[in-house]
Amino acid sequence: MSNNNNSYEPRIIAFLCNWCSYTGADLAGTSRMKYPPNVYIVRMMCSGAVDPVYVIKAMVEGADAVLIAGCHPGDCHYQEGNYKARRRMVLLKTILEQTGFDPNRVWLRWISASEGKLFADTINEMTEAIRARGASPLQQEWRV
Amino acid sequence: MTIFASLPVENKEPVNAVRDLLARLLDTELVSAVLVAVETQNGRSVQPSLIRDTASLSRANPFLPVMPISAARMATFITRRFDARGNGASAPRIAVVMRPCELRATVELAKLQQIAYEQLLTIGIDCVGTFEVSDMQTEDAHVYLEKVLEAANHGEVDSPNGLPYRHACSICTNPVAWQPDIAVHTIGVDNQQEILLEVNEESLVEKLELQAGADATAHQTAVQRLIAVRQERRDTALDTMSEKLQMRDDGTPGLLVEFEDCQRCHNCTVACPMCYCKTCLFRTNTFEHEPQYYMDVAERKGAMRLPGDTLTFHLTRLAHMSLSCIGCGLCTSACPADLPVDTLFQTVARQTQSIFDYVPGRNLDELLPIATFETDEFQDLGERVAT
Repeated sequence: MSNNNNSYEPRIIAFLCNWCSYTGADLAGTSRMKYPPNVYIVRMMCSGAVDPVYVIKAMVEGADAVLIAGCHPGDCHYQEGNYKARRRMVLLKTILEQTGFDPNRVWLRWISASEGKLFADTINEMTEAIRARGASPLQQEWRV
Repeated sequence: MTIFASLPVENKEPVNAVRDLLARLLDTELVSAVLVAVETQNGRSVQPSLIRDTASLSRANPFLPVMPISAARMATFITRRFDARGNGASAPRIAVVMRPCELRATVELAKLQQIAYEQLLTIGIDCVGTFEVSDMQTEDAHVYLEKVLEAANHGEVDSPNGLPYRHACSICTNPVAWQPDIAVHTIGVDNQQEILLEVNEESLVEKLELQAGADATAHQTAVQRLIAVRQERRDTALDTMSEKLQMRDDGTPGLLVEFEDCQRCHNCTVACPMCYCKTCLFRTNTFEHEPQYYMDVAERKGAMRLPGDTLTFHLTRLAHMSLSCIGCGLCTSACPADLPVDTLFQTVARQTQSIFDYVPGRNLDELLPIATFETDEFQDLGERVAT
């Protein structure tokens, strides 16, 4: 493990909504914007479809961070999925914080289909922030 | 409109007075059936039972200080299933005699459309505490019955005879049910002579021929005092657990350290009245991985504890039902490893419930926090303007 090492490459699991954030990520790619290859993308139909258990399993198994991204409030393809996602993530971050996990390794962001640059910036920002935090203490934890 | 009435007790047998009250409910056809705890023949416990014939009330005993199962779960079986329009109104009315935590669970399950609440005539029994059923295997529960009623009379915080209450009971701050149709008060009441009834439906007083106008001051004072002491203990117990759950210096989550001896048997899920999901993820084979998965994890991490996924299990349950956790403690009673499951859940629930200013079981009209949202809340989470 390479804790607190500037060369450490974190693994970030990203759950992106199909309609906004995944398309935003696609735009970043087709626009040839550069962002670090540390993100592993899972396409969801809606940020509201991200069951907390997906985030929990990723965190418990040692992912360095999890990103949930969806349409901006008011813009959800299914009207209100992102509002529900926000409540769930508030709930989940509270539970993680209460049980001894680092809640700052779970990020929620709103990224629209036209915000390719925001997606690239978010991944840059997140990779730097998580690199500074170091590897997840659960990465080599086999008693989970 | 709340009316207090005195229910006379004959021959120092308060349970007979309650049986008589339930018989009157059936005789006057106010209800078609009664769901109430009935003594087992061996005298060690009770089982919730659905009674339609008054003669079968002879072994009903809602005062016996044990709670092997939450009657709220039973109420899901006996009330009408909701149709597409949420319609359940034409079904027969059933009286349910419940402890305060069972009634809170009933309200939560009604919100989750598992119980047709309007079918119920709710009767809440004062409860200063219950014992583990396993402690009754060598003792007749009746030995404790009278002592616990006496403890209720004096508003005593602790168990009267050395045998401790179940842990969740010892830190329970809700000894009295919230707004049932009829509350049966024994706390701060000379319950060998009379029982104090609190009736929230005026017509019931007349139909049941009750004498309105009893004095509730002594009862209310005793309840307030009991709650104050229990609240202090509760705060201490939950603060202690919160401390233990914190991340250790090496980054290990406190939850892993405190619950490392969990075998993931799922008994807590089975016992929990709020875990109603028929398609619970943990009753599927989702976490029965392919053999290669275990080999791969063990290779990646050097080893893998089996059966695995215990942290995922507890965190998922916390995410799914901590908002509705009513603190009955049946999870702890069901745990073969004697883990403090209810303390964990109540500690986390204290935080999650407070974010949404939510008190489970308080009010049927309060929506579950994850069933609703505000458009302008928690804006610090997620909202970054493009630069």
